Amino acid sequence: MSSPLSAPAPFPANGGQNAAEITLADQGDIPGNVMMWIFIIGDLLVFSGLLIGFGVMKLLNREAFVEGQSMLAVAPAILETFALIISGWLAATAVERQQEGRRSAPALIGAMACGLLFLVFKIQEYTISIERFDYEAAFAQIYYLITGFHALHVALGLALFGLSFLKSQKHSLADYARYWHFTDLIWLMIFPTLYIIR
Amino acid sequence: MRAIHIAAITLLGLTGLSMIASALPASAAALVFGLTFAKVMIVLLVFAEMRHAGRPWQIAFGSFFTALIGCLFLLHRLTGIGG
Repeated sequence: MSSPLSAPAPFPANGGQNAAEITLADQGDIPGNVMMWIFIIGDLLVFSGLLIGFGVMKLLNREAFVEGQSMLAVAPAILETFALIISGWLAATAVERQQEGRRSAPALIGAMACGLLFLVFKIQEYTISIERFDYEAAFAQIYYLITGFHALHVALGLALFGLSFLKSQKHSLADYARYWHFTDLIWLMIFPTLYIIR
Repeated sequence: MRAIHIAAITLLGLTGLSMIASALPASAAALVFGLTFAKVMIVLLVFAEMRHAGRPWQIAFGSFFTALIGCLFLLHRLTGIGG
């Protein structure tokens, strides 16, 4: 009879050996390149740090941050969101078509075009932002850091898709699409945090 | 050049390096972890700078993070010797 104070078994049903097998099996099931996953999760941590930092700065300096947010160009940011979502869908379509042995080039070109469109809207947004608020303000610096860092990720993703396209879409397209969805996901966290929530 | 600009350029440079490192074999995972660790440290230092934390605090914080990376890397090497 076990004591009520004794620690519960970590894997009561299967036992230690079986649990180890499950863990190994799970590791084997990671789709794609493990290194790309490490990169993605690592950059998720970096963006989480940036967004949490933004939240803390806003909490400490609420008036200035809300004022800064009210001066942001929301219309280009909405267009950027649509461009990235459509781009992500096209990238997924390209991967699906590749797996079915069909031509993935048109969907991939579409995904790259939408990604490029995102960067065009971003430049338009920055030209408005430069006119509207003072760069020296803490809000402006953190805004440029977060959105600029994300735009760099989009540009890197475009370069990867370009590489995949040059190699007849056979080279790591699924991994690159995974990275592309990561940039989508990050933007879907940045957009409400910076532009919507006051 | 101001501290925040240096931090931003370093962050961009490290991201480019991480991307290149992610094309290496899985045995180089420690390198990508290290680069990620450095990026997180830079983000935290950026906020320290923005909150006008004193330079000694920032140096102490950076040194602590670097020492932590060093210890983790050493542990990684030591555990890899028997494996």
